[in-house]
Amino acid sequence: MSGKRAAETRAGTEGIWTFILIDMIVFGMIFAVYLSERIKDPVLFAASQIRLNAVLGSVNTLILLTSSWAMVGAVGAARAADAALCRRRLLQVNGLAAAFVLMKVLEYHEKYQVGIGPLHNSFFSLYYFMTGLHLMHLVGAMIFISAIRKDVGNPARPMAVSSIENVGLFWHFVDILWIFIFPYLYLVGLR
Amino acid sequence: MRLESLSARNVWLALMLLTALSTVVAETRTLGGASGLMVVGVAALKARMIIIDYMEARRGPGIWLHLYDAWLAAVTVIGLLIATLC
Repeated sequence: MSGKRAAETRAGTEGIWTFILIDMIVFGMIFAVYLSERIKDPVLFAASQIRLNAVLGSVNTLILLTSSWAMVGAVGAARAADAALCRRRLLQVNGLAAAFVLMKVLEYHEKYQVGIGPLHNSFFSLYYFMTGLHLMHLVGAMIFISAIRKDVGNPARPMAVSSIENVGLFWHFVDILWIFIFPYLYLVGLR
Repeated sequence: MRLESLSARNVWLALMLLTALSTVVAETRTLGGASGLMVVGVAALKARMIIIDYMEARRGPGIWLHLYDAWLAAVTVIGLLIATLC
């Protein structure tokens, strides 16, 4: 495949791939901070980690993975010019994302009820920071998906397939972040 | 299109199974001290599957795949260090 042809067939635009890479680097640094803090006080981190609900975290992972599958369907439908299917798949993505948000809010509420807030200790400061930042990404993507969904199939506002691909790429990135945040906070280092 | 959908479904199934497996292994400490390493390895595998199969990073210039792989390697090393040092 020649370079020119390859560029023509890549999903999304150059801008979204760059944006995702920059965001990846930011989260990579946050993971490094988490490691360095954990090395300083492994006992506190292990003791705090046990207080997280791994089952809820796991269910949230399954929800996000399913939403990513639905997003693949939305992109496929957009490429096939099937506006109705694309809108349906995007609605499924946002429905699953809403379920993720609800579960996360329940988890935060559960922690607050027993007096565990962001200032409880360094583990929970990082827990709220990492999951909160991820949640902001997710809610931002939900807003974009809603906005794009309104215009899919609207002849008055024709949309490039690359717009759907861009939002799809970002959605998969949000999924990848959670794929690492969940085990690093909830599972790795359990004693 | 039909083949693409089938492939996406199979990837989704594999991702779901890997998630369940790593949670069970971590919670039950089935592999003892190696449980954490296994969980990190599974996370890296899942992320790579999404980058390749869902983000289609193999299409187009290879530079993006290399850059994303480099990030994946760095984040995986961080996880392995958490699993072994902490």
